[in-house]
Amino acid sequence: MLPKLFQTTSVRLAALGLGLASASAAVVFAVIYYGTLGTMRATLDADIANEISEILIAGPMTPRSIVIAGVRAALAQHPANIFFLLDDAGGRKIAGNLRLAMPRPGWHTLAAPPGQVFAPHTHVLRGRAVPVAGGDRLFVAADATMLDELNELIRRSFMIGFGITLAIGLAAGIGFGRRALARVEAVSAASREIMAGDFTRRIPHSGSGDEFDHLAASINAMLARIEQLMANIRAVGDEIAHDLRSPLARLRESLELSLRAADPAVMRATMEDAIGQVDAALGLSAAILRLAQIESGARRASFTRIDFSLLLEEIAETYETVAEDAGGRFTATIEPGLILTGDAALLNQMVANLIENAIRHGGEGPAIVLAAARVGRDIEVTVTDDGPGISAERHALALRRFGRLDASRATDGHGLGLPLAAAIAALHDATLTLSAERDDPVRPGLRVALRFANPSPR
Amino acid sequence: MDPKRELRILLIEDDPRTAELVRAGLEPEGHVVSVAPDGRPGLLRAAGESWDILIVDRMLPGLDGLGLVRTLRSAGVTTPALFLTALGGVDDRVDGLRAGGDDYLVKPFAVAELSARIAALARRGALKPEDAVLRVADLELDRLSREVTRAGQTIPLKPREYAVLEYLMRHAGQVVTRTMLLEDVWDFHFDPQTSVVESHISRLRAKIDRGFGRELVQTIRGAGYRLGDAA
Repeated sequence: MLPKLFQTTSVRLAALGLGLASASAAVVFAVIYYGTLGTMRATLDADIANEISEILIAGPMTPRSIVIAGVRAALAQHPANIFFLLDDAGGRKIAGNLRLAMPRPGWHTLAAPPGQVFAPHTHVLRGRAVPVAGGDRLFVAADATMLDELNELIRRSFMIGFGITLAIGLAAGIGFGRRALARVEAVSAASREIMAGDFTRRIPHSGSGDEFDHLAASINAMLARIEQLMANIRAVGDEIAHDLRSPLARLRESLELSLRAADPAVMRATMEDAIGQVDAALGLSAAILRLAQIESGARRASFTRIDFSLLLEEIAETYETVAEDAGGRFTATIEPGLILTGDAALLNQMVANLIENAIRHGGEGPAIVLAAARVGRDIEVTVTDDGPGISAERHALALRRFGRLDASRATDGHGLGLPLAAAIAALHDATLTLSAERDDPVRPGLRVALRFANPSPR
Repeated sequence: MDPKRELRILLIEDDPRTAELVRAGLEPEGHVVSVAPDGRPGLLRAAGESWDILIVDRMLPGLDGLGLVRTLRSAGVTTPALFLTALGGVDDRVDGLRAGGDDYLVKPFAVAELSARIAALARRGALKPEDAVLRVADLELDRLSREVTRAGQTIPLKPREYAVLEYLMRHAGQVVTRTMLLEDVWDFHFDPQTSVVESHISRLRAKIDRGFGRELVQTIRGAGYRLGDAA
């Protein structure tokens, strides 16, 4: 099931990013707000305190007449932006250019009372109320409109900034989330189709080379491998069915014939023949199993250091005898001291298969040569014969499972010799190549070369 | 010793058909075959009674064959054990030997193969591997100098021929199958498509038998070869 949008990683990351951005913006806001406004207010407050101390020259006990004189002098000095109110304990105004209900002692920021003579833009006052001798009260205020407006301006710009950041962040998060979801959904959809049986389907690329493309490329490579393996399995299934049918069909015929035979000797011979045919079928299935196990690569775990020269010498000695009995000639040139890491039993089988192939298909009285030598840092092993060879366009077929070159499958053998050798070579990171041994149209021969790339790095 | 001696064999095998085939194949040779169809009773009988050979199926109900033999070995029971298995994989043989098995045979098998391997296993204990000189009739093989003589006459052998002969002499009087030779002499754990064994046996025959009157290397039809005097 597809995750919900708000569960996606992109949206969660976006939210986390937004949270962090908001927190840092809040800190910046606090610094600017309290820095700017605090300084301005301090200046304003200092002016007001200054005025108060100039009026109350003798402190709180300054007589009323002196206070009144002070207020008037101050008004005369700057009539426009400083405001005064002196009233008595009963709230009656004694002096000043302000009319308002006297606030309690202390600092106040208040709206400018309407209908009085202020500069046109003035609408906020900040001032301080102090008690004076005889129950009188003095309120000195200044125009704090600038302060208020700045306050408002800073607040508003931060709100707008915040809003935009939040909106963009959220939108981006949701956008990325949707996009990621869409990509993931594309992968899921492709996976579902593949599971439903369409093994040719691939995960779409965006071509941007981003992490999704990277992922898609990996998955596609895996799918290609799976498809190849599936095709292999299908092909092998067909081939096994075909190849097992022949011995089984012959077996059936033999058994049916033996049913009619009255002579126990004939019956016995047929039975023995039948067992031979079953053995052929079993041999085929064993070879198929072996090939599958080699191709799985699990045998690499049991690799050991092998004196390959020694192994080849022993095989050479064995097949010299076998080839001579088959009417052929066998020679070997093996460089001593070739060391590689591998599985001795499988390498034995690989080389034996190649030589047996040459003996069986090398034509009348084949001349077979086994050679092994170091080529640069590589080890090259070749098995050549002077038989009819395999034409270049059929080399690939020869290396395929059951790619027996005679369509009738008349010759014996399970047709897995070369493919087994190729699989064992691949397991040892070696390449197997086929080529004609010489330029002779009748008997070009076959050269099978195995190349182990840098098998024992020094 | 008499290679044809009767053996007490315990077959631990749950498939009645295989059990029947083994019994039918081995009893005519004079062996006594008891069958345990389950792993746990099989283990008890294998440990509690005296046997010459154990034949153990790898896949058993109750306790699998590998575990059974491993348990026996850790309990100090050294009776030779041969595994029967339906698994013919390349690593399965190694697993079997590692668990303490002495030999390994993939189903389906020819009864002659089983019989030959049983005989070889039963004699293994009696054979002294450190014997320097092996003798069969007037044929001698010196394992130190790697020299082979017949009737006092030195016979030059190629290394593989020597290895085949040494194997045959170590199993003198017993049937040695083609597969046993391939596995033990060549380390070939696959079925070669050419006459590897036949070619070497025929070379060996030409060298050690031709011109000496009695033939020592005998072909046992449908089974393998035997080195010895008897006809």
